[in-house]
Amino acid sequence: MTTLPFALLDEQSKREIRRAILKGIAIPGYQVPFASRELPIGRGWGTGGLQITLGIIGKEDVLKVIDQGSDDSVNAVNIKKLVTKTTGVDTTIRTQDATLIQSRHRIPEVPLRSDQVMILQVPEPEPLRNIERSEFKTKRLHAEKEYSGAYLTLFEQIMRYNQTSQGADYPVMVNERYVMNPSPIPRYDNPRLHNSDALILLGAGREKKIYAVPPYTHVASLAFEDYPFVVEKFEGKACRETGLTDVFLDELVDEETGETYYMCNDTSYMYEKLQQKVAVK
Amino acid sequence: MELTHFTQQTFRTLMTCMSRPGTKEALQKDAMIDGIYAETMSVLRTMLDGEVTFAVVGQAPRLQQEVMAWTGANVSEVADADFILVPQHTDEAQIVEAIQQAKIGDLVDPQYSATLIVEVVAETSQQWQLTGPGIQDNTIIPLAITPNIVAARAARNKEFPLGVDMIFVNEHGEVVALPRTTKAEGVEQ
Repeated sequence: MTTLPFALLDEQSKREIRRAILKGIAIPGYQVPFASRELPIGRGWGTGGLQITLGIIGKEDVLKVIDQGSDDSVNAVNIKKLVTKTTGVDTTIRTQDATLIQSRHRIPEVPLRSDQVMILQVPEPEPLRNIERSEFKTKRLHAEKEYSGAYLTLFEQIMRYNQTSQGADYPVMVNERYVMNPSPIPRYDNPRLHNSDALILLGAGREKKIYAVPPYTHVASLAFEDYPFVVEKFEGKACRETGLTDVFLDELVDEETGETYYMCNDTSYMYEKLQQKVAVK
Repeated sequence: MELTHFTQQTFRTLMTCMSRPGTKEALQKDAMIDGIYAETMSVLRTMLDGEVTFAVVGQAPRLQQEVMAWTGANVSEVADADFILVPQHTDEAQIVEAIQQAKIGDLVDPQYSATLIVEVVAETSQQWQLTGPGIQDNTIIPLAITPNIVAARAARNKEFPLGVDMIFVNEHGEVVALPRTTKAEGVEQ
C-alpha cells in the first residue's frame, strides 16, 4: 500500500490552490477560479474549504472545524478526521487554541486573532446567481461592477416583507469593489468580516472558486439608506444553559414539554462559559 | 526538510506577507542556484510549476534554464509571464520596463496578471508609507526600491482590480509583499 501524501493532495494541486489563494488576497472579494480536485468527500460537503485547509496546513497547525457552530456534528467530525489522518496535526474545539479554523455557517463568538486563519466553506459563491444563471454573464457583471441585481433581490424582499428576508449568506461589498457571498453565515456574523484581525479565506469546491477577505479590509453588508442593514435580534431571550444574551442563539423546542427555548449556537463557546460557571461555584 | 513541508512553510510566509502588506518575514533556504538569493529560489520552488510561465528580466539565459530545470515552469516573454523574476542588480530602467510590460489581467479575469519577484538589498534609507487592505490604518517600511519603480507600479495598478502583485526578497532572506491593492507613498526623510 502506498502512503498518502501529507495533507492528501499532491504538490501540484496544492501549488494551484496556493496560487489562487494569493490572487484572491490581492483581489479582495473576487472569485478566483481553481481546478477543485476530487476528494473522498462529495462536492458540496465542504470540499472548497477542505481544499484550502489541505493546501495551507502544516505540521505545526492546530485545527478547529465547526459546522453550524458545532464541533461535534457529522460534517465537522469527518473533515477533522480526514485532515488529521493525513497530516497528524492536533485538533481543538477551543477557538483560542486553533491556528486554522474551518467552518460551515458560522464565525466563532470568540474574536479571532491575527495569527489565525478563518476558512469558510461556500456552497454558492456567486451573489448574482439567482438573478443570472450564466457564469459568462455574471463574470461580466462583476467586471462592470454592475450590482443592481444584488440590490434588486433585497429590494424585492423589502417590497414583500417590509424587511430583507435573507437570513444567511447576506451579500457584502468588499473593499468597495466586489459584491461577495460571505457563505451562509447568519447576518449576525457579517460585521465580523469587516476589519477582521484574521485572514478569511473562502472556498467553493463544487463551483470551483476561491476568494478571500484580507485582514483590515472594508466589508459592508448591502443596504439601503431607508432600510439599513440589521442583524438578528434576540431581545428578551437568553441561552438556557449559560444565560448568555450577547451571542447568536438557536431556537429549539423541548420535545417533551413542547416549550420553545434558546441555546448558544457556538457550542465550544458555550462549554467554555459553562466550565467557568462551574469553576466559580 | 522534506520538500512538502518546506514549500508549505514558504507558502505560509508568503500568504502572511501578501495578506499583511509591509510585514517583513524570514524565508528559509533550500536549493541554491547562481545569480539569485537562495530564498528567492524558495519562492520560485513554492509557486512555480509546469502550469505557469515565467520570465527573467535582463539577459540571463543560464538563470532561465536553471529555474526551468528546477521548477518545470515554461519560459515566456515578460509581457506574457505569470511570474517575472527580477534578479539583484537589475537596472532601474529594466525594472520599470518590466512593470510596464507585465500583464495586469482584464476586468473579467483580473487573476490573469503577473506576480513580480524582485530582489532588493536590505540596506536602504528609502521609506514608504503603505495603505490599503491588510494594513491597519497605515504602516511605514524601509524598502530599497526607487521612486520611479513605485511610480511605474502605481501607474500599472491604477485601475483596480487590474494590476501586478510584487514580492520583494533581500539578501538576508527577508520578504515583503505589495499586492496591487497597496498604495505606497514616499516618506520625506
